[in-house]
Amino acid sequence: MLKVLHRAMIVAIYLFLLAPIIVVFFISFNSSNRLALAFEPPSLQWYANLLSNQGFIEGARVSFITASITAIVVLLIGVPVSLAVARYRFKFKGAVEALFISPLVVPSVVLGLGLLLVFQPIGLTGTFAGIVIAHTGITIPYVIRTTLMSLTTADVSCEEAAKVLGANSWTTFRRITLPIIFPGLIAGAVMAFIISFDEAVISLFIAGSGRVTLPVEMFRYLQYRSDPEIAALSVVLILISVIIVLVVERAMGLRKVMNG
Amino acid sequence: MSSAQAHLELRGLNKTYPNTESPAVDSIDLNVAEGELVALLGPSGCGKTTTLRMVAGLLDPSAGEIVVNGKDLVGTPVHKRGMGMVFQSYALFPHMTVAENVGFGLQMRKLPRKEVKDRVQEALAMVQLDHLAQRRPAALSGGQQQRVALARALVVEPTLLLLDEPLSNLDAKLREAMRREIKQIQQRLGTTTLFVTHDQDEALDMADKIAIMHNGVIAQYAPPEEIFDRPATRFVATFVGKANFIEATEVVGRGGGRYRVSSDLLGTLEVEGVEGIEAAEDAALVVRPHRLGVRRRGESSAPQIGGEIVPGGPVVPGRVVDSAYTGNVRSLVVDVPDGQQIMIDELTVRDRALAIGDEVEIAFDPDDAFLVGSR
Ligand SMILES: Nc1ncnc2c1ncn2[C@@H]1O[C@H](COP(=O)(O)OP(=O)(O)O)[C@@H](O)[C@H]1O
Ligand SMILES: [Mg+2]
Repeated sequence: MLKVLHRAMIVAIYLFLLAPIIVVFFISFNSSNRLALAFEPPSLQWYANLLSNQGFIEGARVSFITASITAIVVLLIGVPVSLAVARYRFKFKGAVEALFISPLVVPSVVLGLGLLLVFQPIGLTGTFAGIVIAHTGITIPYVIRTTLMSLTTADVSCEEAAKVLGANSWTTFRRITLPIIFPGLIAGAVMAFIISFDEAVISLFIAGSGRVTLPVEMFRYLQYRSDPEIAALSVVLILISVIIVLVVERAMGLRKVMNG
Repeated sequence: MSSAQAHLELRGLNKTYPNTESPAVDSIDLNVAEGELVALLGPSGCGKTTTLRMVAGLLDPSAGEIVVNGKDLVGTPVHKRGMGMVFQSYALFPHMTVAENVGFGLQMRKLPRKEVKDRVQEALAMVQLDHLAQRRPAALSGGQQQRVALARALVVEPTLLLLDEPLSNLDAKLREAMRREIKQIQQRLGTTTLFVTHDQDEALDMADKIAIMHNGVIAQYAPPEEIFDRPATRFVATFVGKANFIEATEVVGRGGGRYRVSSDLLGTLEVEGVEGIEAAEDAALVVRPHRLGVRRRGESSAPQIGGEIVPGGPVVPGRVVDSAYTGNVRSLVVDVPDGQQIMIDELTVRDRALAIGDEVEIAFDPDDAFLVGSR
């Protein structure tokens, strides 16, 4: 009896979590032109419309480019910072750690407004660079966390063994440390990519009249129109996320990646 | 594989960690001759690992010199010291095969591919693992990982081999087998070796000389037999083997490390001892439990130690208060007149068991007593 209840509970929780996705999925294949649950004949019309929506296509391009560059930039900054924090002693270490983790606790609205005030005078609003800088700021804590976790669980004596065997610091990093923490890096970079791709609030603040990411484009679209095209786009985005997760899973085992 | 034999000398080597008051390693001197295996033995936290890591170059000394073949290595970075080290955790590279692990040091020395391959093969054969060359470390047992770590350290023909508690992660049976194996390989190659352990059996079994460390200083540096028979301090006597201490009331030096020692329990004896003891204060006679003979009081047979009759030494009356049987040996605790308790390890004899409460007499050969001072 308890077992049945337990199962029912799990099913209910999943239904609750998945309900929005199921609804979106359903609406996107519906020929009704209202963004609401309706039972018209099925249709692929909204998907076809996506392909000719220049706004969405441009938004997707901007998002893809900025998310990719963000993922690379956070690695380039996050890995050295994590290495310094995990392996060396230096002054103000606590402060450095706090600085890179802190964006997590500042509300997006505040961050967005702040960035707007800084970006406006120097002409960074609505540019690729502006978006990348903003997204680097909000995603770097994730990369630093996964990298730090990999570094602290890795056996330091492996690096020491390599040095005793004649490897200098750079060779030790390249041949020993990097391969060992690589799954953690990929996890962090994928997380950064997805967060950047998904980020709406800050992007909205700093969009100005220039480059606009996909989430911002979607938000603007919804202000004027409400047809299932947005649902079709959502389904496409969900599929992309699923594909990314599957690829990472196949390439190195997601569980391993998430555990660093 | 061969080895250019190296001579190691530590001079006033000191390490004080930042934000600590007393040094972890307190100005130690140590001289390791070519081809010797020296064990650094001491309780946890006495500074063994710190010493070893300074020799390896993984830790900068606060003061002192590390002289190998006449050259001070302080300031030489770790990757240029040409040493071999085996870590407690083995520290095998998890993303490389066994062969790649063993070949890593040779690659760093930029040897031709062919030579790397041959020498890896040879090193793996030495530790009987040639058939596992393509495995990953995770797919090996503890003992096999240990062997890979040893092969990886030795394949580069290191000037010094450094081992930090290499056997402590193995089970008891395997540990003993590996002791012999490491010792044999070390003797065959003649590599000067520094071996850190907290296990006295390991040190006594393997080492040519043992340095007993205590609170960052070397309490005694001598061959195993001397450490055991002629301990330099009370600490050494208790840390290596079991010891009874009989407090001295009067000590008169006779020169050449011989003393006339009086004690409440044993009267006056002529014994050997640590050189330079001047006062009875804090001085004590060390007597090993297995060098004491015991018989039931009133029994006429002469007390025996390991089958030998004790010549006319002192005889002390007492009463058995504890008795532990371990097969080969029965360990007794006996109350003696001055309120002290004496430990006795007696080889077991069929049909003769002393029980708690038995009145006994203890006898021993004064030559088995050794006088230690206050240090
Ligand atoms: N990185 C460190 N910082 C401060 N103190 C340390 C550090 N490493 C070791 N110690 C201290 O130095 C002493 C000796 O340590 P160690 O050499 O590891 O001892 P052992 O190997 O004999 O167990 C211990 O008291 C330990 O707490
Ligand atoms: Mg240690």
